[in-house]
Amino acid sequence: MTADPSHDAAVRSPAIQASELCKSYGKTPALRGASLTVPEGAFFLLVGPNGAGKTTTMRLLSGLDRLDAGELRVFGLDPAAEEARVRAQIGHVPEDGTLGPAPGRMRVAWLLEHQAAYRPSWDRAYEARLCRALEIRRDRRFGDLSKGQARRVQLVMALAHRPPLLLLDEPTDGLDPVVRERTLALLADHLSAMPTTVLLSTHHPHEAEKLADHVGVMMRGRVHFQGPRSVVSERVKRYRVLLPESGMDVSPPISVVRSRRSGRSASWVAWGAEADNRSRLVRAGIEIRSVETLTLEEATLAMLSEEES
Amino acid sequence: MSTEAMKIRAVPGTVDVCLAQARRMARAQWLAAVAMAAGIAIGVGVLTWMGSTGAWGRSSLAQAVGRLHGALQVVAFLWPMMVTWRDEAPSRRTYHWSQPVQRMRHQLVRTAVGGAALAAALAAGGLAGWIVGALVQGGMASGGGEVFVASAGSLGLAYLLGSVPALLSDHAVLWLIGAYAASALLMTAWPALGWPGAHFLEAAVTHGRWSLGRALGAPAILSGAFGQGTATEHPEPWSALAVWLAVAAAGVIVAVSVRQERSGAT
Repeated sequence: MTADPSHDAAVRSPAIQASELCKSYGKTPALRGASLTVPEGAFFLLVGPNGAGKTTTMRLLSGLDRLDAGELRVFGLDPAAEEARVRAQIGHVPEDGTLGPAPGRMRVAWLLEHQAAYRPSWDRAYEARLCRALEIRRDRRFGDLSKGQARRVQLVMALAHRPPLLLLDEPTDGLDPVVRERTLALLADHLSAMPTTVLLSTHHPHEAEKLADHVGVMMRGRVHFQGPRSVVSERVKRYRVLLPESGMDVSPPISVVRSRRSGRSASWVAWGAEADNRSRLVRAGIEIRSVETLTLEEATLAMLSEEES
Repeated sequence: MSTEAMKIRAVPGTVDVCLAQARRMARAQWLAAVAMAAGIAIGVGVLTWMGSTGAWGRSSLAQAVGRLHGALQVVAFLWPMMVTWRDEAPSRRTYHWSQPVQRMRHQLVRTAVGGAALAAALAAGGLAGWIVGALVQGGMASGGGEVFVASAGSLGLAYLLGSVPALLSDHAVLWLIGAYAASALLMTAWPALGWPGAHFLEAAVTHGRWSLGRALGAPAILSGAFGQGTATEHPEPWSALAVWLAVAAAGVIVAVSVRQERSGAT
């Protein structure tokens, strides 16, 4: 399912263009024909259950793994053929454990210095600011850091060279609530100061509520939906209805993905154009009490529920 | 937001990558390197001191290097695991691979920088040993230039051979021990069982003009540490050394070109 790009007010050239990606690890397929388009400058929220293929997609994008089949371009570059150039454009906060641990004996300061040597655009002043904001102790050995502390260092490593593309794979995983808030605020500041395309994978879509302008839903190695967030808001809504007395066991005349009932009252999260759904409900004799726009988390959960069903 | 706004970032130059790797190794592995260099210095010093006491007659640095060659070779074999790739076995190498450098080139650079670190440690240890020897003997005997060249070549060969499992496996030491044990078993069992071709095997591995044993033992042969019998049978080890260096370099090229991926990423 792909939303009509004309819904996007400003149609932009893609930062990421992936078509029919296939990747297996041994006999285990991780991607089975995933296609994804991330416009330049978009904040793209990628959601999906564990094992959907989100991490594999990010590893392919950063050239860490090789495609079995399909076509992939990052800013027009092929990660397989130009892995160094592609990685130079990327700041990657990996899912815990996939990009590290960095050599445990290295102190955080050395680690950052080592990173800076590889990134001509590394901004020392910005690095220092990020370290202060995230309360990173630069004299600690990387191997001695807790999961949350290591995550913060990885975030600095991803942001300090101001890359045009950020791949954030569960970036707030392991962070306490205070640091999580601070991290998201830092990310918002970063994006307001620097034009950046972001591909964010998370199990907590509410964290991207204020930032995400595009949404993709992955399941079982495929992208089942992708499009601007405005399309999601238009297409998935909650309908609070009152069922007719004579038809308590009436089946919904609209495409319901989540349902809750209490007596004659029902709350249905449903797909489809609102006008169309309204007319179907009225025709079925169902009284509409309200139609609500969903939060990003509710909408993505609804989409996942639909795909699962 | 345009493509122009999102400027494409440059990749680092080869010199920058080499320097970054050298700094990284110097900072993270200096203790292991210093310990090994100290061991070499002590070994060379002790051997030259033994020479001064008359145990082997007056020692030159070349003779000391020849006698110490077996120990130096163990150091060179283990160096890729203990220094070059320490803490970064293939399953933990994603951090290295995630840098904006072509993966094969990056691994070759690290291997080369590790080799340079080994050379520096050997030079430092040798110099320290020479100073010790000169002090206890009241001066070192001169000569033995070809022993040093052969030593550099054969230790380089040991380093390259040790690099192959270090590049490919999380259990490189086990592979090295296994390879040694397997070849020792084969060398014993093959002739004992009377299988045909035993002399070809011996010629390739131990005694032949092109054998691996000859290449690895080059400085010991040249310094006379193996006794004259072996040295006179095939008076020069250079051809074996050249052949096996080429074989080991090819092995390293193959090892860096094997693309390892994290299994089960989803």
